[in-house]
Amino acid sequence: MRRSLFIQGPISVAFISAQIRKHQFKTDIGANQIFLGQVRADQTTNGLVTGIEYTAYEQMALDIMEEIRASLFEKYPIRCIHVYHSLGLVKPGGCSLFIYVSAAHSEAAFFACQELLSKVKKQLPIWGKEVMDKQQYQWKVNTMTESV
Amino acid sequence: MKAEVEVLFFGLLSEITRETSIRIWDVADTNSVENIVINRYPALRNYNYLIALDKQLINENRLLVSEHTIAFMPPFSGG
Repeated sequence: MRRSLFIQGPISVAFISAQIRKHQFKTDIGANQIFLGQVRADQTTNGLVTGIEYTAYEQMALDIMEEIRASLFEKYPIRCIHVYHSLGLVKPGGCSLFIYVSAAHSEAAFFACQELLSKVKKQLPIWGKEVMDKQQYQWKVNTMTESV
Repeated sequence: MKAEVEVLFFGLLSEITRETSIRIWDVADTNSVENIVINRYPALRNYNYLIALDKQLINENRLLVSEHTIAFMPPFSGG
């Protein structure tokens, strides 16, 4: 079964808290590492960012996500991995990326989450278009360190 | 046998081409597809792009055998 990856619009606090609640029934988990990516209202030379509109090559992203998932399970003693990414418009303050890694112990959860975040940004075919006030826009550019 | 290819454009590139997909017939390899696409949309030369053959990134020419999907994609910017 392929897991879901995309959510239309911002990822709600209710959805995130429901995921946390679900994991409280898994009693072999001792550490939950959560990353929440949030849209910033950046002031750019083209104007103020009023939202990011996300598009993706969905089928390819799902395939690559399965490869990433398999590689992390091989590398770290983790129990589960969940990744959710928004499609469509997310306004500043809205959550566009929700990563959840659980393990028996904190170190594995922490490092797996860091690596997962880096891989999601570098390898998944997803694009963000920064929508500006004054009806302009510019395409988002990811700047990533190479350390992870 | 020459292949039939569905070409997809994503993100900024779909704004340059003003298309999200086109079909190309009678092509032997991915370099031929890229040449046809660049000739049809010369402005693409000014942009960085990645190419995926059947949802796998490729860095070199690949022979095409039957029906394929080839995606032209700007650098990824999710998150």
